[in-house]
Amino acid sequence: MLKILGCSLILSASLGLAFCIQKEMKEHLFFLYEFRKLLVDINYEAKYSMQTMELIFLYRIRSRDEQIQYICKEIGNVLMEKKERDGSAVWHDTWKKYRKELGVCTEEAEIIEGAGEIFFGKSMEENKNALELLLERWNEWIAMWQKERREKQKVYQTTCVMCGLILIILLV
Amino acid sequence: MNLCELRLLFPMHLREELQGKDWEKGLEEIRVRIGQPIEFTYGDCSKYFMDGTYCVTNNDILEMFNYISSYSLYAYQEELKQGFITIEGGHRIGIAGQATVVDGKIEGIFPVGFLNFRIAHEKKGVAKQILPLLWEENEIKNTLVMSAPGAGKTTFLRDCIRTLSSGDEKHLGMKVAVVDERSEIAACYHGEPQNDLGPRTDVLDGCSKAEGILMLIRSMSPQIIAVDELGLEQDFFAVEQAANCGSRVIGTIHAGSVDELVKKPFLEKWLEHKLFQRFVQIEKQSDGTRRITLFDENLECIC
Repeated sequence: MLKILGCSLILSASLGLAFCIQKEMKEHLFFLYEFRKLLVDINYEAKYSMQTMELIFLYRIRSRDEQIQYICKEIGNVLMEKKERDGSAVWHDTWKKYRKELGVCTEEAEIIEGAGEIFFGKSMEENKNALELLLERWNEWIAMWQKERREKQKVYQTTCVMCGLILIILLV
Repeated sequence: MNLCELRLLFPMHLREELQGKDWEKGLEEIRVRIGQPIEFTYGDCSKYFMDGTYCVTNNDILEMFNYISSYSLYAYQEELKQGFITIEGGHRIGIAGQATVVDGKIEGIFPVGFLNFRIAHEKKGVAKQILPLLWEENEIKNTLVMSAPGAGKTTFLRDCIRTLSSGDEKHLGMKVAVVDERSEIAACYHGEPQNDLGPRTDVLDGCSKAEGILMLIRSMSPQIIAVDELGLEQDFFAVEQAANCGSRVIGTIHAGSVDELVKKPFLEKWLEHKLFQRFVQIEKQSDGTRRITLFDENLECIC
């Protein structure tokens, strides 16, 4: 009876853990996609509305990720105050400030915080080229993350199946 | 943006020096030149920032340029090609430095070494005395305002537009369309006119005069078309078309006197055809006041 109870606990714990990790990974993947969308949206707005960056950040950006939306507003407000000599520094500092809340790893943080360079160039052409390079890097990162997610999913599935089998054997 | 807020366009380390001082009273221009002190121009005199002890550095200009363009140089590419940026409040910032020329055309200016802040002044009522003389029954006559640069022809034109658009005790307000190629008349900032041009005025901003005039005739059915700085032959062709379509035109041109005006080769034909029936000449006197003279279609002085 104790063995059955123990196995049931292990099974439910593994399932719970797998579910939590999967959920976290899904959310993080959603963030990665939303950040990608943000980069494209800002570039698109800059190109077609020809608005300045402060107005784009404050009024034009609509992200489904609340944190991204909040950070954009903050960047817009800081740009409006004109207290920092360089726009990309404002971007860098704001994202750095929320690094922990976003739960990004060092590599991701490096890309995210450095992404400001692509919006504050001298011309649209310069911004566009920088965006293309960054998107390439970001897409690679997303692909790597998806692969890792699939591998982890396999491990959790196998673990759960094994636990289930052990439970069945014990019950039999 | 009021004059105090212009402080926000200066480098961080200089803003404190500008706080609370009465540098903005009567200010006409701020001249920023690399390696030189910042100069504030007030009509007939000028003052140096920090008594001329501080000289502008390359980093200062870069920082100022970032603030002026709201960190978005890409958004001002077209303006940069023309050598100026209009900011909130209608103030204009002239730019000079190393021009980038591609196929014989200026594609931009970088690095920027010289800035000229031209403070926008709206002087309401400057056209009040002359405007009644431009009417003929219920229509305004085609009018050309001429003066040397900086004498106030754009200010005069702006006041004409505002008065004609608003109407007065004798005349109803008219539909006025403005082709503002260099954003000088309406001083549009993100599409919104910063200067008061009256309630019945439509503005086409940043469009060439010749194209803009024809476009406005088709789209806005204006009674009056106002344009600044007519200078090319094609501009006068467009004015002629507008005049033949039933609209009236008020324009400005760079010419210090009637003699200078008649010497402009491309204008000869239209002067002969009497395209304009009124000529307003504005002269800046040594005491800063303006003298306005009105001429008829034969270039004879009326008053």
